[in-house]
Amino acid sequence: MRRIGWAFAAAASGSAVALSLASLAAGFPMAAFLPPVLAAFWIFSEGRGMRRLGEVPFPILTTACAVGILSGLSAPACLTAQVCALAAWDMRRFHGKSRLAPDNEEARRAEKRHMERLVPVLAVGALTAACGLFVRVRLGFAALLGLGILLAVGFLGYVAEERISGDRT
Amino acid sequence: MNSGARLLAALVLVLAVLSLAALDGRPMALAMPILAYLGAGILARPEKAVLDVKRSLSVHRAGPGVPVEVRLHVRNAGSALEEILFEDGVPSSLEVAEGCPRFFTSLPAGAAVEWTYTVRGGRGEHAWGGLRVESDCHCGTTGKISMFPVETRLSVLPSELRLPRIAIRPRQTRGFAGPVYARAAGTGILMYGVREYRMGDPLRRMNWRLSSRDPRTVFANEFEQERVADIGIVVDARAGSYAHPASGALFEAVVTASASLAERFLADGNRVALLVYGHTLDRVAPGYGRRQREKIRLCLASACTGVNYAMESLEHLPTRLFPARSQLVLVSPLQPGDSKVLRAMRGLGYSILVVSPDPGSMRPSDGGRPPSALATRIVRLERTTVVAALRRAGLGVADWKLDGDPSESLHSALERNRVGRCGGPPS
Repeated sequence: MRRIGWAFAAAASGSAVALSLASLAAGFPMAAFLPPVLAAFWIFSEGRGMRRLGEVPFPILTTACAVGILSGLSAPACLTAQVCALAAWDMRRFHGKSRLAPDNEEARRAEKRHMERLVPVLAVGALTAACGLFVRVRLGFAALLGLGILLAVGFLGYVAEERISGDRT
Repeated sequence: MNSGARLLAALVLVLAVLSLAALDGRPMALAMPILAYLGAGILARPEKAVLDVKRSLSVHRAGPGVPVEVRLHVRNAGSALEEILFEDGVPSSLEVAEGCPRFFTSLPAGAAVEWTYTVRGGRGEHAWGGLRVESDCHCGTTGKISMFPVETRLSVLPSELRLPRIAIRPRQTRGFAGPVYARAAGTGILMYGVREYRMGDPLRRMNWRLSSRDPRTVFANEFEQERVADIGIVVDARAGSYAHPASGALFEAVVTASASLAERFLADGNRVALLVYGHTLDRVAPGYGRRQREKIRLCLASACTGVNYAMESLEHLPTRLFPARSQLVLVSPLQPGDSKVLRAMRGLGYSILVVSPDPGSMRPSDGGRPPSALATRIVRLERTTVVAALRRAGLGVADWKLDGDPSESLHSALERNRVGRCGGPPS
């Protein structure tokens, strides 16, 4: 297995461990064994022709983090588990492609470039999420409306551009 | 938006719904890393790929199962592309023997990449689809998929069996020297008759024994001319002729026999034409030599069985494609109604040789259920009747058993139809 494969396994395990520890700490020992089982299946499914099934653990882990946070699990642990799961999902997808590289050197270069871009994105995401969890900000109706309109315009612009470029292709 | 982006968007929606349902903002905070990931994907969207793609094959014509190397050369004529996945459209009828038609790399502007893989397949015309190019942002959520059509064709020609010289006896031959007895006196090696000596006859042709019996007349020997002939090979591609559990293998045997016969007749210097009679009329006009051999092999490479209600019977066989009184070779498993048509064609002056693989001698393909004993018996009786009717009418029938070595069995089937039988008695 390439290095990105090991990194995927580490991220998936990290996500499961964080969620299990949070469950144990919150007094849900029965729920603690589920994330490791899921992570084990995720890692096992990699490279064994279970492409579709391998997509399943990530949404389950994400939903479990959200349900856990509502059930009283530690929020930082759940956020860590969520970020690790997202990293594992991305690395698994990339591993599927990078194994088609002509040689190990090319694959290693591509993995390095990919990780150099992935880590800042995850860091920014984690930081924003942490701010969302721990910094209390009260937004007025006008500010909320403005943010909503901004999001909607951005999304519509993106969709329109995608359609135009799709037509050109 | 690809499947990954759709999954992430769905997860954000689920987290938002959970937040609203619980009136708690914390689940929505968990959506932040996903939103950051999606946003980074949108910001780093790849440009449209502008590529020069060339595909080349090591050979454009190959035998069945022979590995063929495919080489792809791609040059980036646009801006730099990161994480680009190429997927070549290998025809489903071909098997990838070595290497991979997919290739992952990064292509800076102006750079080129080349990779190879090997394919092999059965008889047929195989056409490649385009090259699928998936250029991705590093987040794998906003990739662009483009198709670059590159036309490439591989003809897998039918296999051929080595056959010895085949004895045929058409009623009319052409004017050039060849291996076919021409039913006319001239130079040759086979004794044809005796006539009165004429001035200019070489002395070695004198029949001294006969001349000594008559003191006033001198006799000379005559030999049979040997000429090239016009030969038309008709391949039966009617789906109704192949109602057998191993129909594919049976048709392959017919195509192999046709290719082998064409090869043999052309090697002997004859003028050979080909007609594939099935759901279409694929034909090769009469011709000689190696170019004609290639034309026939290419036509046979793309031959396949099919249904055409106008051509369910041999009645509509376009005999005008073949010169009058020439030799026709029909390669067919035979249907019950064929004997009547073939006898009528013989009446028109054609010499006909039927090379017929025996479906009853074939084993069903792997996994196929063997036919019941009663069905086998009925098929055998029907075939025996047809073959006997054809032989009674003076047609040559090479009954080809397919249970042993195909080359030897075809050879022995043709041997049983030596000169004097395959074309019928001299007329």
